Amino acid sequence: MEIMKTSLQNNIRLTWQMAYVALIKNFLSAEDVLNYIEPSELSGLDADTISSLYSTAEESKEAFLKTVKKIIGDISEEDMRKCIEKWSLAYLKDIYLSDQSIREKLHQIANVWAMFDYPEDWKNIIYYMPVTGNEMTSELTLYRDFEEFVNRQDEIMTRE
Amino acid sequence: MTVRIADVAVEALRTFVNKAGVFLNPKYAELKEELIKIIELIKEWLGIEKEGAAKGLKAVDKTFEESKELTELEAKADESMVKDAEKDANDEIRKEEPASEGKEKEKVLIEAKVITKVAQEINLPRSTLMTELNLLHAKHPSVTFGSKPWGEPGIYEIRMFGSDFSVDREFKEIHVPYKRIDPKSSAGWKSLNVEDSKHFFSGIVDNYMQQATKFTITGADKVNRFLYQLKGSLRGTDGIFEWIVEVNGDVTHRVFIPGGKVTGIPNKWK
Repeated sequence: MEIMKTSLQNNIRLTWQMAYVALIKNFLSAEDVLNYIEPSELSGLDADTISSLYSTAEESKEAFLKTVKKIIGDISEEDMRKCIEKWSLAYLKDIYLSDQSIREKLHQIANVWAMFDYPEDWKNIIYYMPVTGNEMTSELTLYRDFEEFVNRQDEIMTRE
Repeated sequence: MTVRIADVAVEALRTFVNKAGVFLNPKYAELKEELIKIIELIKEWLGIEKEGAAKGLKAVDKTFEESKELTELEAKADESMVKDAEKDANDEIRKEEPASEGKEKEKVLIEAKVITKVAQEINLPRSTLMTELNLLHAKHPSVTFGSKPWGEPGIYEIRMFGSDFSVDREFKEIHVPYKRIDPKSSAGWKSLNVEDSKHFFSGIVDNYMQQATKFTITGADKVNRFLYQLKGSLRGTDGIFEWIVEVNGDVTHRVFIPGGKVTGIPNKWK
């Protein structure tokens, strides 16, 4: 998957927690994090930590990850889950906002589904998941379901 | 006279022993004739029975025929090694035609540098190939590894032996019920991620797809596809291997589901 510049510019506030999850999940590189981290997140750090961020970024991803971990401290499972959900929604929004054809978008959604370990509640928007013969489905109805899904998820996230 | 005969006999036998290695080579057929003559002379001088001598000669002839066969095989092997060396020297990576059934399988000893070539030929990053080989080799000293899941239909088989860098490669046509793994699909890019415990597994598993249960599924997009589910285990965990093959032969879904069952429904994770 390509780096989500659209998300980073439009959909996501890249906090240190979000960056940490993105690094673990290989969504972003250390360089991406330093390029797209919220300025307010950087300004809250002391000079030594900032220096450490840049030096470990050049060293290795593991070293950089350790520095970020020091910044965020312990992260609860609940926070981790929320971050992952935010990332998944960001990816879906990217697809939604892209100028690809409906078919291409549906295939991208299936890819993102695999990327996030097949969340159960996405099944209804996956093009290849079987349906019974009676269901009136098509690529278009599937895409509308996807639109609804994204909007619904977005509302939930905003409320949280 | 007795001393002379004994000297000749000893000398003849010594020659025989010394030259035995050479004698076994058909290139030295003349020497064989010479030695037979010497043995006949010894037989006469020492009064060996004709029957016994005939037996001895038969044994020599038998050994000769066996050695001839062996040497012919060795010559073929030499020829093959020369061809391989020539091939290795060639910088341009040429795609090998798969050996058709019944044809003699081509065996090539692959050195470390050749691994790079093989990786290129089967469109795998070298590091991924090495990881696969090392993982398999650690578990099984001699293991069949192969197929070509991301590219053209699987035609390669690599049999491991010896050190990490030595493999015995056989070109063999392996029939997998798909044309290629779609590189843009999750099956394509996730299969290459060594950290992905569910999607990263050896292409050799695909060789067993013929034994999987095949279902036709109709997706929400109203397109029919083939779902293959195969009971198995991965890294010590039981479950199912699962593939979805489009009608054009592209694999778009390739995953291992821990604890999964053959149900005809993809992605049953719970």
